[in-house]
Amino acid sequence: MTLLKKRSENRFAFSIKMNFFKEIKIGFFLAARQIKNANLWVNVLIIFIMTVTFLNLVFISGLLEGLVEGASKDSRNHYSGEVIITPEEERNNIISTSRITEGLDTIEEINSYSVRYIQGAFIEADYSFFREPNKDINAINGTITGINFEDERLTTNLDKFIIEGEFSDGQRRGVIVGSGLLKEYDSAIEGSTLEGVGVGDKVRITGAQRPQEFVVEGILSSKLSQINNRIFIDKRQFVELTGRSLQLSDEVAISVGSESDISSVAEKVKLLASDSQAKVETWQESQGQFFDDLSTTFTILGAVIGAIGLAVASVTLFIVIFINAISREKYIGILKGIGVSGIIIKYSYILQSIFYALIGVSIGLFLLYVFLVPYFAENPIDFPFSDGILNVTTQGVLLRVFILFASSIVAGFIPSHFIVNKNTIDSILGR
Amino acid sequence: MTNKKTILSTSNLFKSYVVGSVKTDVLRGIDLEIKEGEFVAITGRSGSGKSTLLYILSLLDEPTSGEVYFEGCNLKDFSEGKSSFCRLHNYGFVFQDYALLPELTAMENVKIPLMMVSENWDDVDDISTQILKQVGLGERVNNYPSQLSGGEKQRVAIARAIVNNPRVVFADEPTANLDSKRADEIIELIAKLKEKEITVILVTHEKKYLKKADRIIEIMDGKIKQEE
Repeated sequence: MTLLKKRSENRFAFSIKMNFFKEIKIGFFLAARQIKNANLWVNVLIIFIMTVTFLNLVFISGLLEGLVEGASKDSRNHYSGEVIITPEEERNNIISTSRITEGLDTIEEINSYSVRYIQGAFIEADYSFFREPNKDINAINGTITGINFEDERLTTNLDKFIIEGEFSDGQRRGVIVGSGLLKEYDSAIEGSTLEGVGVGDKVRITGAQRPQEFVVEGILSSKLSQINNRIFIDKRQFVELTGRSLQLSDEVAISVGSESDISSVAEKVKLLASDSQAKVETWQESQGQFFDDLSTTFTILGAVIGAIGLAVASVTLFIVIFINAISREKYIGILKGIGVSGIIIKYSYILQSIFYALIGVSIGLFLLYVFLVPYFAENPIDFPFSDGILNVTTQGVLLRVFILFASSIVAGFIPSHFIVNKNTIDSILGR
Repeated sequence: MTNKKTILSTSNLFKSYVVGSVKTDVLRGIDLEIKEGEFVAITGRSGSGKSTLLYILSLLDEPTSGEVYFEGCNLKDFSEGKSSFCRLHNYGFVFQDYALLPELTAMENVKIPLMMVSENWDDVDDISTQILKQVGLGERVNNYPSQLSGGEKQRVAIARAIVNNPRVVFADEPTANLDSKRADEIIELIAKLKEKEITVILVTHEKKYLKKADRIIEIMDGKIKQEE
């Protein structure tokens, strides 16, 4: 017994406050030994729950936000451009279009622009004089859009949506038909689509002028209804059909080279279009409150679903740690019995939870950034109005990591708190 | 012994358990004094209340009524923190079933109380190993409890009980799970603590070990029947 230290004379002085870091170190020591000697499958199960919970938190909200993000991005890239000119409220058309376009040509920051002329028309297929008398008329009231195909291709990459045939060069009397107008692609309400129309078929379009015949050069498909439910024809042929002057346009989509130039370009265009009964908006302004509301709604929805997942995971983790703590009640009692303070025992359980959360989150982050995000970028989910990508931001991920750690700490603390507060000898004797 | 100061005492100590509507009085008015450095054996039949008395004296349990004093200080109103502190610095425990932590090696089991009181951990491993050598387990320091025999486990428990150089060691039937030879060795080890002026309170019902004690307190039906 020679190594025993000399007994202090003041050992009954209750300076019971222990150094915080020392408490953490002892708690860490106990936690590390417990994890090391715990059942492998229990460790695997807890880490699996953590990983799935983390992915659930990030994935659901990321996908929902990605839906809106995808729709918004599509609208910008393939419809409005960065800046769009439309008629003022209660005006039918933009006037003096050539004056605007001449001005647009002088703005260096603009990559390209496309002027659109939009009007309702009567579109027929199977309009042969020798049509069977009892056969239903194969015709619809649709929207035709007169464009310069090359300008539109440069501005919105409309050609990328072609699913059959080819993109028109505007040199022939051809049209590009949105798949939303064709029964074979869209099983919409009876009478709103043309039946049996494919590439090479002829359609007859009646605007304000005499009916004219066109060949279907291509069929395009897009999640954007402004593209999918329109028939595109060359603007000169549009004039022939409708008798409309080219000075009276409906939309001018403008592609701006740099993100930072969008506002300044919009301001310059506003000056150009000030006398043209036109409204000039950036892509964000043109999407308006709807996309903001949709984004907010989906964010809330994602948060609610995530919160439910988090609650389920917290309860699961709580149960696993609680069972672990209950099964170790005797040893917790022994630790208390030999003088280890309750707070150290609680730290040991909290540190175990943090360890499980750390490993679970690390695996989750690996799966997220190495597999899921690249996979969904390459293979978006085909939703009706958008391509579902994973919208994952560093800020959002960090927030979810924090939430998971916080709930893990609570799930570790509560069971250990219950057990530690039990009578010591009852714990030791299992009473 | 009479010149030595009282280290532990009780006054009119009662302990009852209520199960459903049935109240069982386990201790019924215990008054005793234990002197510093004394080796006291508490004996009695099974269910007499001897272990309960030990748990209350050692702050592992609370009395229903009555007082417990350690060096004249009433322990009645001690918070959990104070009780824990008191046990850590002044008491050592040897339980019947060893009460070792299975995920820790023999040395780690011993060093936990030492880690709690030491500011510097540089030599806690060395001290724990030395203590284990003193109880005859120099070769088993890195073995887990599951790799030790009953006698070896109890030696680890004794090493853990004394590593902080306590004022009092409480031993609750430490030989109950051991064969005769190992039991004798354990009692010898415990009896040796007296040489270090450690007060020992041993609960046992084995008559042959009572002779080792300075004083024998026999409990019967929750009361002290006789003191020798």
